[in-house]
Amino acid sequence: MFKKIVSSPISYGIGCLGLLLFIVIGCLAMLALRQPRCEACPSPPGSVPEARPLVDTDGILYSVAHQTLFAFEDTSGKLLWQYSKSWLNPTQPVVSEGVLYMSLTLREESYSFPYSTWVYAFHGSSGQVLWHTRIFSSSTPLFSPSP
Amino acid sequence: MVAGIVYAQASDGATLFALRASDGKVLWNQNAEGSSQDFVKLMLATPGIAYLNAYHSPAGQILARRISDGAVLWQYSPPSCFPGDGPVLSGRLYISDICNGEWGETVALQAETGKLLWRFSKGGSITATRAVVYVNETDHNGPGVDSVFAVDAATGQMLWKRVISRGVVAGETHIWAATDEVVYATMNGIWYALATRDGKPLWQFPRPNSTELGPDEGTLLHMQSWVVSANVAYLFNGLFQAFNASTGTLLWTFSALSVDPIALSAGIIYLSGLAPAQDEQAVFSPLQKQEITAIEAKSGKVLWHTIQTQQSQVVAQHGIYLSVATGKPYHYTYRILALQSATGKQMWTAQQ
Repeated sequence: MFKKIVSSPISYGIGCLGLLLFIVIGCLAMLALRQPRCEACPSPPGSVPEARPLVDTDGILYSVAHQTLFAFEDTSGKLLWQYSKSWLNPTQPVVSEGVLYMSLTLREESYSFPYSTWVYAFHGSSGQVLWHTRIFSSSTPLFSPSP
Repeated sequence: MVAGIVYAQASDGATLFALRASDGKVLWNQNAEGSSQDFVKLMLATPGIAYLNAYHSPAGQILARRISDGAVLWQYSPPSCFPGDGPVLSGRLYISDICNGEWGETVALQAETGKLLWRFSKGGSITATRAVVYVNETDHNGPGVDSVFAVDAATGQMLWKRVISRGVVAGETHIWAATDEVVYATMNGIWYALATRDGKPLWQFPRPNSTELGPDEGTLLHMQSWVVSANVAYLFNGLFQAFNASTGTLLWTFSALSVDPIALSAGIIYLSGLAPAQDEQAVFSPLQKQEITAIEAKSGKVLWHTIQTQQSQVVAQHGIYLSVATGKPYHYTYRILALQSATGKQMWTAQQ
């Protein structure tokens, strides 16, 4: 009787289906347990250099690393100020007439548009934020295109 | 940042913003308003007008916007074509179109009004002086025929042309710099100084019937201002060489396997090149060691050199500043290394 059931085509089909179901559920579980892959997510601090250093006419060296903007005196290396923010992709800063301008993307607490692009203006010698303006919000952390 | 205005592109490239530098107020913006492939970018800005290049599939346009209020002063929209980027000189904007993947025509527009001044039937990358516009029409489909047209900047009349059949190995024709008397161009793997009046070679390198190596494609990209300012032309062809720009006389040679010119500042040339790997571990390390070499521009004499796992650098009045990385992937640490220009001695270093 038992032999009959096991060897019947119906029970064989059920067995195969169960095995298939087991494999599918297993794969889904593994996928769920895996860390989500996020190609557009920011690199963790210390992974990549973020911008080329630059020196202004007043002898201040600006450098970006570990999500921090640093300002040094170019002759002595004395740290003048630093500014940290959890930005995603700062652009290369530019400096003009003692003011440093930098565009960066920040993560916002918004469900619809969780990423915003801002332009910041820093007083070069003091590091004071003169102004910051949000120019763009998006649903994905887009990166600058290279047309 | 031009004349008190900060230009910033949205991270998707589809919108360009003009912000007042004094308070960050957005004065105006320009949106490409199309598919995700469309973009708008700042082509150039003068104190009064911003010239934008907008790509709306399947065509494009140049927009001239008044900086103070963003008013569109004029626009240039060649049908079914994309206008390329072009220079403004002596009140004229020069643009070449790209139509169906090939160069179209070149136009001169009055920069303030957009009035069409002249058309020239050929297109290409543009190098302009006050008197002459050079149109460099290259064949991007491999070995082919490249042309250089010299056009009168005021009238659009062709002054002369050179047509070059490019060999398999040679790179595309490229115009590096132009003065009132000389045009410096690479054509079919030979470096030429051409007379602006008739396009005939004043000198060339390699010299005819010589076994010298010709220029490497792309190695002179950053040297345009060097040629013009110091009357010296620099060529990299496996050797780094300096020539008298007027006569072609070889001034000096610096031997290096692979170098990338960083800057020419205060009579010193800074070169960067990949340092030879010392062991297998170094070969596969993501942090490649770079060699920085400082050369006296006048003589070609090596002043100093250093090897660092550096990521980027800037040359300034008091020295050269390297952003140096150490550690392992995702755990890199960075420090700034400041070196004296003339000696390469360390001025200071700071952890970031």
